[in-house]
Amino acid sequence: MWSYLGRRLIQVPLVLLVVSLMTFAITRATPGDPVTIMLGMQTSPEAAKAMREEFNLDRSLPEQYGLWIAKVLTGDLGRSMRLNDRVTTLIAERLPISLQLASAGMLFALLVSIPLGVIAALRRNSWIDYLCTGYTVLGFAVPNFGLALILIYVFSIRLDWLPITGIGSSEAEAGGFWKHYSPFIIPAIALGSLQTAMLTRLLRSSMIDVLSQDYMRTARAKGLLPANIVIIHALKNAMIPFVTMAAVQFGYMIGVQVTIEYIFAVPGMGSAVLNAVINRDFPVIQGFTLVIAVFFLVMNILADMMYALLDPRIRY
Amino acid sequence: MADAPALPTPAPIKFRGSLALAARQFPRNRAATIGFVILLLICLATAFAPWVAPYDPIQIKLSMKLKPPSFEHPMGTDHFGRDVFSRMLWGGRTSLAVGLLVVGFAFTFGVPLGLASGYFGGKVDNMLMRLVDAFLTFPPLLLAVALVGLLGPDIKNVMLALGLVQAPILARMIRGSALAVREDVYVTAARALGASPLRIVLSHMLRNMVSPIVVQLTAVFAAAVVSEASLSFLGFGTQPPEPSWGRDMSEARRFLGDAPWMFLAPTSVIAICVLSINFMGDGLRDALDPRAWRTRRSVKADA
Amino acid sequence: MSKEFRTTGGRGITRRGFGAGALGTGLLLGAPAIAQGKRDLRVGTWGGEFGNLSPVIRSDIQGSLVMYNVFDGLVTINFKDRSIMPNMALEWTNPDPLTWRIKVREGVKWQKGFGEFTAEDVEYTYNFHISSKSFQMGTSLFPIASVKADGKYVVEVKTKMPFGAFPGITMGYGGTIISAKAHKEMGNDAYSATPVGNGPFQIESKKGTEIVLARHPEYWRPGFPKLDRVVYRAIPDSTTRLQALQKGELDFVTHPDPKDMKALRKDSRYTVKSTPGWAWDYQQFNLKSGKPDAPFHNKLVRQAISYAIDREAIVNEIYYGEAIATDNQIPAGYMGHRQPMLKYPKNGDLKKAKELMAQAGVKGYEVEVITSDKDWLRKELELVAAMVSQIGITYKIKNMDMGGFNSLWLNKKFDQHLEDITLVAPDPDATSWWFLHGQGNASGYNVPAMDAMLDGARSELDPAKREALYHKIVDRTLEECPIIYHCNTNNIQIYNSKIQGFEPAPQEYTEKLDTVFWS
Repeated sequence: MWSYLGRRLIQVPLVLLVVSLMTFAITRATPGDPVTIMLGMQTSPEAAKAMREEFNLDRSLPEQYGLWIAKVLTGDLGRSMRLNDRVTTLIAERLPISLQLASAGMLFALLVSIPLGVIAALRRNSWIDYLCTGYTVLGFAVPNFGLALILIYVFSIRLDWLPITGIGSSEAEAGGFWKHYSPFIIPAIALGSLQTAMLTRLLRSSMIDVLSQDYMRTARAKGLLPANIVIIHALKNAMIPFVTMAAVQFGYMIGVQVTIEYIFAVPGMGSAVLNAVINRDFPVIQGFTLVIAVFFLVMNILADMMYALLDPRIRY
Repeated sequence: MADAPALPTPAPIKFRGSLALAARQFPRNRAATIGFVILLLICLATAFAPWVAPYDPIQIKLSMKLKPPSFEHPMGTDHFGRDVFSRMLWGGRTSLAVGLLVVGFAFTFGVPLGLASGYFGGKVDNMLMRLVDAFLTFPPLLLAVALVGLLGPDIKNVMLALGLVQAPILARMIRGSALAVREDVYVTAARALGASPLRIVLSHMLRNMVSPIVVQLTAVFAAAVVSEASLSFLGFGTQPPEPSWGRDMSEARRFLGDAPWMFLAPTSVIAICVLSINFMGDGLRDALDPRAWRTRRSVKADA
Repeated sequence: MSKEFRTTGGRGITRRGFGAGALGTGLLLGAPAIAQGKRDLRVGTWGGEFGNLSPVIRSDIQGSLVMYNVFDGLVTINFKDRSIMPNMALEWTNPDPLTWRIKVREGVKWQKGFGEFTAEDVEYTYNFHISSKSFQMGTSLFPIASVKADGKYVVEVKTKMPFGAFPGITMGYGGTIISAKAHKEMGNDAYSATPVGNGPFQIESKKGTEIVLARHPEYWRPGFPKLDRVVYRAIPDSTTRLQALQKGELDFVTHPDPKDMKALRKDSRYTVKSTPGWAWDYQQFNLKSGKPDAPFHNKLVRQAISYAIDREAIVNEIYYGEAIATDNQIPAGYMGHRQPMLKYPKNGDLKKAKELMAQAGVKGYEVEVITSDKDWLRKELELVAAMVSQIGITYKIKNMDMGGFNSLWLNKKFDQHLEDITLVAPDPDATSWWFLHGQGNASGYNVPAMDAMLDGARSELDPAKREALYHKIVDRTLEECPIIYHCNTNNIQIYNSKIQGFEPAPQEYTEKLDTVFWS
């Protein structure tokens, strides 16, 4: 197990290398010259040349990549072409916000999906099962921005219970607990809706799988095991894919917040990447992608570790 | 049990046989049947939209804008006076095509990748999973935007981007199941009996993984339709005036208060569509899983 | 002269303005502010994040929204008569054609204790631009040969050529001065993160989507600014921005969805300002596109398109009346303005359009039309596509993001586009030269007679002759249609009606909040 962890950790730089190469290739292949975009059409050729030199854009592609990666190894992700801030500074600003929002979304997903999935599996084909299916389907079917707009309409506009904006604003952060965290509630529910649906569905079907295994059926039929032990045992087994999925999805949620960040004006990672893509701000795209990748990889390794812990049959 | 999976049975014949049994089993699930029928109807209606739709979906008629549902316009009209019902039918062509193609793409690349990785383990697994990891670490939107920028804004590129996002997710999922199934008694037994890897993968593992695959593919379909909407919302999706459910939803959001029908029509058709697919997926899952068959005979045999 | 215009880039789904009724609120301004209530203001602007605010680094459109509150430039523009007003520069003389002597204001203090604003700062700033080859070298400082402070309060600038537009361009667009002391002590990077200015507000903190400004305690204008703190937040979605205002999460928003304006005008809790703007929506043709026989290379076809467009419908359906239909490039308030619609009827003329198509011998064709990521433009293009489809032309729409659009547009790799543009200089040269001159435009439109008129108008000093030249330029543009103008869009703000003293401008980049206060 520990040696497996070691091996996985060794592979992390490898994956990051692939990721950085892919990002680099995509940014450089995309039409849209950052210098023209930043400086406009009427700029002087000298200014454009100076900017190209400043960001090494006048060099060959392998040179550009080499210079960038060499800097990355010293912990320097470069400087944003548009914002002129260091990319590390931007990440330090935005990563905590994205993590908080993703955690809030995942918390909501877990709070709903575990009880719902278990009950639906135990009471299969009952009204509660159908209710559960219906609920999860809504999670799949209604895009999170649609849900967000509906939630805003109901809870912010009609009922006036919850704020719409404020995540990451100095006003909210200087306020008390409610002022600080209440802006997270609607975005988290909207963000977590897809994960809630996925996890509920997955838990339900894996629970059904486990419950229909021969040994479980026999044990239950003969009344050998009290119901709660059945549930705990089944849940433990069903948790294996569940935990993997949850971890993978958590890693994924950092990168899919864009629509939510857009609606709620959240200064997160996703909107930074979106803005950087629109403005072809290469250093920001490359730096943020790398950090998102690191985060994602860590979540995946954690998922595999939990996998091993939960299922003794899996040996590494 | 009529079809004990613990034995390494000569697969091809049996497999076909069990498919036939599954086909007979499927209609017994009422929700699945209804789902199938609704989905079929939606597919037919969208496929024959040119004949079914009462109006031209892109003809702007400002004098008719934002009219509530009526006899002439069963789902009302939008901000440019276009018939929402007709746009819904035509839009289904885009949205369903995106969904289906992404499912096809994800299946074609995700399943073999996941199976190979899960079955062989070791170096192959390591290599494939690193590739999958690299793909998965891309923020999907960045990938979509980059591709759309690279190849020009076009729905085909959106499909490609979504497929590239979904395939690794499926692969990872399949690999997880394969990893677990690999250790099951019947696979160990088959391996001990000297069955070839291909046969083990196809006739034993894959068969026992049909249900997670089906569940996941329905999820992929839903995710594709919904992602297309999100991309359109951010402005990277279907090009106007071509209708698509996702784009119509994002257009309708401005009129949520004044003309809720504009929002409700595409939203509910997506919901109904995904609901049907899920019920169908459940039905298929149960039909393909002999242990879940509900026949008088199997109940007797069981007891 | 150069960069007097820029595309309104950024991710502003909302930027737009509006039009008609700024009159009603004028009455409120008379109310005396006896006891001022709140002293802080929360502003919601469009866009995704604030770029750099330093005037010596590449300009950033969104940073510019805030910059005028931090820096007081050498001169300001009086929007009423388009004159150049003294600000940091008190007076200027032009003793010989190549020399400009600028007398700067005394007693102006830099923020955060960086001492007095002097002629040295002007010298330092211009020299920094020159030595760092900054973007301003291409736009406003290109004529400069040398800069020298003459004593503490006089700057002498030598130019390489006689440059009549010096006050407006070099001192106007290029007239934002940085503190030499602060810039040297902090270094260029730290300075650009949180610059030290001489304006009414200083930067307290800056994050990507939020800038907090605090009152500059030593501001040179006694009694200003009237607010202690201003928080600017970038809120990209126009609906969210407005809802946040209505829920009291913000006090002041710009560029709301024009759809909601009617209801808001009736609501006494809010003040609505909608100022006819110096911005247009327009279609541009690439007359040098790869296909030499493209039908739109024929001016009759372009005229037909212009006739096929119902500009009033665009104003009503896309901007809900918060725009002014126009068919030419000189808006009200500019020299040479006659009236919004000169040649083409505001509701279009389909019959005429079809006749022109027949005359051109063009049956119908398909063309790719690009636009960028502003949602109003995408809707407008959809509407326009429907309009031209009536004369047999099919617009194949391609909605690009800003980067993709600029790349195609600036490199002239497009057939036709629909975009909007905001002007920052109040001169007809700014609205014509870069769009029509053979050396400057993206259309590939290259007509020597037009170039001669444009250059002539640029150097003409007699206003009456200059105006006549611009009339000719406009008439020729309307005849040849390398560009088809749709409308001038308004600059809109909505704010809590307890807020007073705000002075709107035709474009938002010069709006300042130093006179704003709560009643």
